[in-house]
Amino acid sequence: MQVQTEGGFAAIPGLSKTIGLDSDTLPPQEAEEMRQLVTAARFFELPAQQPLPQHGADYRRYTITIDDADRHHSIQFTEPVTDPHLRDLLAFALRHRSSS
Amino acid sequence: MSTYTQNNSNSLRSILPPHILKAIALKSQDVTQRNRAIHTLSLDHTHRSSRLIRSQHRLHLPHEQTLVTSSTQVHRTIYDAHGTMDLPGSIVRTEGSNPVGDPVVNEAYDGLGWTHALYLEIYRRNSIDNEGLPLLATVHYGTDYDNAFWDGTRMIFGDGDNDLFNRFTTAIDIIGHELTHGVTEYEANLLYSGQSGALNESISDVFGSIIKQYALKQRVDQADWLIGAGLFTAKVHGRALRDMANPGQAYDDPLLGKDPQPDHMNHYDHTLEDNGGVHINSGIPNRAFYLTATALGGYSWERAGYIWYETLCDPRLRPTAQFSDFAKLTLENAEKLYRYGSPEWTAVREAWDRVGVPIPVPAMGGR
Repeated sequence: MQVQTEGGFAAIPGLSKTIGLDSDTLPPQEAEEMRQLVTAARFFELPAQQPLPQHGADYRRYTITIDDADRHHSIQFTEPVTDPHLRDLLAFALRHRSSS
Repeated sequence: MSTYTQNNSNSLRSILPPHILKAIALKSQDVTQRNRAIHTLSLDHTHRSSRLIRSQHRLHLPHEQTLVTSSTQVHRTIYDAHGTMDLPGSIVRTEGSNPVGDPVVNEAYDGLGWTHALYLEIYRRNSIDNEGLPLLATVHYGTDYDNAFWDGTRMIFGDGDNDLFNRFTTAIDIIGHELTHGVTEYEANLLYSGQSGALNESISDVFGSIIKQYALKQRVDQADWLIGAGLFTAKVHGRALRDMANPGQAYDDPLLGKDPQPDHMNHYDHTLEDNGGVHINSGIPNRAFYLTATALGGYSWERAGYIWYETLCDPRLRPTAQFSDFAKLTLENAEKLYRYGSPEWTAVREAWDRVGVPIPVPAMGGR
């Protein structure tokens, strides 16, 4: 799984590095958690492009890409994230930012 | 004297909702379709007409004093997301209640108070919508969350990661910045992309900085003109996120890189990231305001602030405005508030000229 972040009040190009998480290298418990979050979010069924926010500013835009065996899917969305399952998946990735 | 009231008719827009128009304008591969969407956005007559009516009630001579009634009382509610991304979170402080043990909550509460006070006391604006809209903020959003944003309803603040960023309520100008996005949305509704997006960001930086200066009662020569001073941890080589006086010089850090803001149109960044560099190219209009305010001296919220605020509320300021459109309107508002050729008018004209946005000026009487 790869997560890319851009924008936000503190938009700093030097910080928009991609978070990369690999289930083969994550500790088994966390790899399993990631798989469950991907399944719960029905990630591969989500539209590639979420609707743009009707209002607001300084929101971040996220791009999540997942390669799983023969499946590849990428979605783009902005804050605030209303889908609770997608929010959980995003929070998981952001929590593992430093270990990516 | 009468109480200043406005009738906001934001709900009356074109047939297609603005977000769909915006999406077409931003995303469509069909040039004709994109141009139509941009054209419709720029001809949002209903909204602009309502702003025209409201503008007729607004201040024309900034030195006049007008009474305000108790209906202008601020209504703040602070929520705590407890480290999650669930909004709005639980209520932790309401209007009039005593400070709580959590400084983040109190910073948000006080910052909203100062912002509301500036808009009311100086610009006679009653909250975000000028109709007393309650001010809502959520703190402790997310975990190690390095951002603050306006979602169209509330201001949301992260705690920072404590590695590179401290908490986002630490600087009052950040709170003023976010609330001003609400004001902009109710007035010009500047499209959050490209130059109009950079203007949207700049207006938030301008009034964010003004709010800080107002709270500290600083003259322009005493102000630091920084956005987000104190936001970086000691680990970062930088004074703040942005420097309105010297765009491009706020930070220079091995990890973050160098502040990419340009200070002149010659260095405009045509990036596609961040909605076309809205947080980067805002350096140009930011510096124009700084140059105007410092040329005039005194308090930034007065003459320079009046001109920028009148421009923000000017019904001719369209959602797709470019830097040159905004610059032209600031000069016209300087003339309306003061006079053609006045020190204020001259300061505005010279400021835009110095950042590479010259304003063609016909001879007096030729306009």
